[in-house]
Amino acid sequence: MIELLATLAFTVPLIGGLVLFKLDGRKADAVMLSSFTLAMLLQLAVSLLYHAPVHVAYLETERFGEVYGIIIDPMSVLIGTVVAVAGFIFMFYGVEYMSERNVGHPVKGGKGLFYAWMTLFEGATLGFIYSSTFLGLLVFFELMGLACWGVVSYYGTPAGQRAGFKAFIIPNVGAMIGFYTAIYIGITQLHDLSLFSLSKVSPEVKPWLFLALLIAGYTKSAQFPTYSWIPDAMEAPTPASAFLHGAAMVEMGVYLVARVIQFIGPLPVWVFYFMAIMVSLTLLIPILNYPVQKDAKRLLAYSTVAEAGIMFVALTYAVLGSEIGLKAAMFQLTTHAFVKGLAFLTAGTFTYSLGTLDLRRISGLREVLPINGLAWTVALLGLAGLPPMVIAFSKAEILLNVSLVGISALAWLPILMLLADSAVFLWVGLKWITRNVFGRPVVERAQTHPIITASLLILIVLSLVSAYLAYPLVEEITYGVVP
Amino acid sequence: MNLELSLALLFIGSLSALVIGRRAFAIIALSSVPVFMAANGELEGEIIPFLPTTFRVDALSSLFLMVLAVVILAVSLYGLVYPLPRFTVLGTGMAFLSALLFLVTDNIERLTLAYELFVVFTGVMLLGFNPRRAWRYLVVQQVFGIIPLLVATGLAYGAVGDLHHLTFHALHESLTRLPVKGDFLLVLFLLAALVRSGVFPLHSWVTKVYSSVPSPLVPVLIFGEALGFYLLLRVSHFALPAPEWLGYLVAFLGSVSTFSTLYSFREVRLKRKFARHSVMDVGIAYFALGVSIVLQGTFLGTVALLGALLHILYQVIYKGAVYFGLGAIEYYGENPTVCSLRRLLRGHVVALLITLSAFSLAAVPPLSAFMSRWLVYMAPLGTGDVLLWLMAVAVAFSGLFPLASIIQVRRINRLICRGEVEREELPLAIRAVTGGMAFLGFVVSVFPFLLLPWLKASIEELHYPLPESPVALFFAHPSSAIALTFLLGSLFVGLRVGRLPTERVSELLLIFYSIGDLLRSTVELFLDGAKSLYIAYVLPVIKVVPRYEVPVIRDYDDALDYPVRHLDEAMFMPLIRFLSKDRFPERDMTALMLLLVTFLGLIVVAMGVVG
Repeated sequence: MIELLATLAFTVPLIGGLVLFKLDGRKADAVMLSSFTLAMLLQLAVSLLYHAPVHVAYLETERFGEVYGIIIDPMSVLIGTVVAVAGFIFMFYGVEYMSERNVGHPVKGGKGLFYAWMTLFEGATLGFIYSSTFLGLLVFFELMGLACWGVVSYYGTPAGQRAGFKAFIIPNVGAMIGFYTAIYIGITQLHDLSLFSLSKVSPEVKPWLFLALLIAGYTKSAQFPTYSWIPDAMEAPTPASAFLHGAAMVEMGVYLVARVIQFIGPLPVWVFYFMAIMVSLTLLIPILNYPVQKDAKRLLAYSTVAEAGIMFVALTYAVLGSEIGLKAAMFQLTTHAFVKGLAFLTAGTFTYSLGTLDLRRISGLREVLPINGLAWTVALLGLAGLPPMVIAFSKAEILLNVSLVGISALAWLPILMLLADSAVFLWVGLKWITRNVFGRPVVERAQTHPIITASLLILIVLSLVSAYLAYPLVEEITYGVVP
Repeated sequence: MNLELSLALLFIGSLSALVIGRRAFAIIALSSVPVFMAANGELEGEIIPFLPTTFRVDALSSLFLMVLAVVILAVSLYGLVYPLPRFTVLGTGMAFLSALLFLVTDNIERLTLAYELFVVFTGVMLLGFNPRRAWRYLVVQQVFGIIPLLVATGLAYGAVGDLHHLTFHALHESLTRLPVKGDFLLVLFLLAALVRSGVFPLHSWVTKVYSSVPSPLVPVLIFGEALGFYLLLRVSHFALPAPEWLGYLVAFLGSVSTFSTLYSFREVRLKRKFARHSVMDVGIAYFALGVSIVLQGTFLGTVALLGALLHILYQVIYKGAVYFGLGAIEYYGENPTVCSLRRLLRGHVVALLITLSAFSLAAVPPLSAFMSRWLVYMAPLGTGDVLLWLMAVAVAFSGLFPLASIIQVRRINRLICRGEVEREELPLAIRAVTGGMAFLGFVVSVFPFLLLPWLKASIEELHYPLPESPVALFFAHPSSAIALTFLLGSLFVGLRVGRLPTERVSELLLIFYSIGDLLRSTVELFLDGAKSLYIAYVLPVIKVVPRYEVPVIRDYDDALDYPVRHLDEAMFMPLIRFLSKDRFPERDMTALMLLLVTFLGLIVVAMGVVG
């Protein structure tokens, strides 16, 4: 039963997405919302029914072993639920955002195309999460890339087209390095494409295979040195940005590496050194860029680079054998999805209500748009890691890994970079909160809509409670999966 | 049960503030009853079902809980009649909740969380009145308080290995498994304590924040100072072995902090003036705590520790009463300055009560600070330790200025504030709370035996020699006479100094003011230097800034309009252009793709060969 529900959770939006290419207007709204709602309900049913890991091989051959299949375990159930719930909220908001009432980006027609890409995106992401083979992962990885190109270049501006192209190409480069290597080794050495076969890879090849898959993860998650596609991808409509940054594209790179670490077994310590240095370099980029960003979405994009980096900090420790690192990475992924979603949707309301994303031109939200002001405050303080917002809890869990300094002094470096990132973001975030929320209003009135307000309120609540809801599943995440 | 009830009432009260505004203080006030009851008895167990938190209420936390109950009750009753924005009421209630959690939990991770929550919600209290100050307050607390505590928690976890049982006791039992030296952990906790308490060199936020929030809310922050003290006391005496150097360091920082009172002399804004005194009072408590660490295990160590505890708790009460009094001036719609005191002084009993509290602060016998400072001076002066003597003399020197400063307020008031003012009525709650706090401060200082059982019990676990009675405590050592001489002498000198013209005293204190200015300039120099380095060297790398424009950029905001330079593109493009022999920018992405695809193909083949 649970395997059927999980399969439907990603096939329903995939089918819905294909149908939406031919629709527009209210019909498109209805089909898109139905797809997202159904996917969310199915996913919630999976999380409620889940009690033990399940592995289903859908296609097996003699030469390639398991070709397609799914794994339902705490990690996939947790992240699948996050994607489905966040995706639904973002697109519920998207119904109003993609309307003529949007001051900055009024949409008169053609939103069916956007919905189609977004719904496909959701299906591909859920499919990726449940896949148990490298071929399955590759197929959904490419579908995600395609959908990403579709949504980023949706407005058709030169900047949007360039950004869409970049968002498609760079993760593809990673996919070619990682997945083709894995599939090649799976076919030639193991005769099995399943993730379970990872532990059978010879010790000499294992770290190199891991590195190849790590590069795939890095490109998807906009890590150094391939980070710039994500700040450029803010050309996408805001609900897509929220999904890209908060729940899907960027997070799936982290999820991929976490999955590999879960199955691959012990790795040599130099892999830890490599990851520690790379993640520290990644974190340096947003730290240097935060103080001089004026565009709300671009500021948040740099924060995404950092937050994904922070998830990789946890995975860096997981490579050293810290199970709490693996748990913390998924915990951070969960909490970040809602807080970053809130931040993006609030930034979207600046476009919707005020027609600008220039933070210097947004002032006095406290009086003009109080709920939006509250959301902006909660989101920025939450991203800086202050409690009671949920990222504080996941970051605290990552910081527990500092105890590994006994194994290598290099373990200090990622932690110190993480803390520096939090401090600098707090400083910059508070600077903008002071101006945007508490400054003198630049307009007397600004329009909003109940759908927008409701979406923000739901995300504010989730930014405060999602850690408590997710923690039982986070606790169950372990190395290896025994169905 | 009492703890759960108080947490629930605080939570519900705080949230309901969003709907019913300041009337929510009625619910928050109710929580003081179970807090007070929880303080009367040792408790142990687990609270908060959705965030299981182990707690242990021992005599030490009971002592602080009692004071917290008083502060909750007083602030809430006052808040019922004082106009405050809704989210300020929410912030106040949640700050109380955080403080309660901080005091009762024995889990280091939860304590860190409570510390963070306290910072955030006191920041929320401030946000509505001065967002810029709230911004700076939060950043300072984050960098010097929260981050060190988080790192300390991670390191402690490395030793204990179990998050749920990461208690002070468990840490004490697992010190050999610490991944770093225990001294490093102590420094991290010390930093968090110093910034929470506003002790030198992390004291600069105190005056700015106290002068920005409404006076009736300042007692919440003053209690926060006590929380920092509690943290350091808990860690240094119950979890980690406190070495002698820590004692000297804490005593030194405390004694330097007492010099803050010198700055109060040139201050006519009363909130800032008393904030300076607050830094001094906390400095005295830290000085005594440092002395107790140096002298730990001896009777004089006990005297110092009891002096420190008495002083930190007394100051919450008498300083709270002073700020409640200043709140009455704000209630009239005026800023509390030396002149605006006149309206309050006109026939109000509140004026008498403020005076009583101000004299407590000035260590006039037999009021609060006199009693606690008696013990604080007695301990170091009873040793032959030159360093402790020097520091004690320094503390005694700065101790003459509170009285001088109060006399000066009276003198200036008579001198320059000549306009006639009319008497205005004050609500009963304001009068009752101010009076109640002042009376409480008076009672517990004049009858110290009331508190002695709690004080003794709170350090019983440390196996220090304990006094039998207050007499045995206050006359424990011949140095008691020297301490009394110091105290009375400083009062006499303070009286004389207070009568001198302000300019004359300022000239005498110029050297101290210059040192303060020098320290402030040094900090600003470092911050400006970091900004200049960023603009000169980092900005041209991350943004496309013409070289000739760099010198005219003065601030981060000046650089907002320059386009972003993507380092990854900048890194790869020259190589691609070179290899593709293609100089046309619009074709760069295609060239990049072709090159990388070729490169990837090679990698895949190479991996296959390795495989």
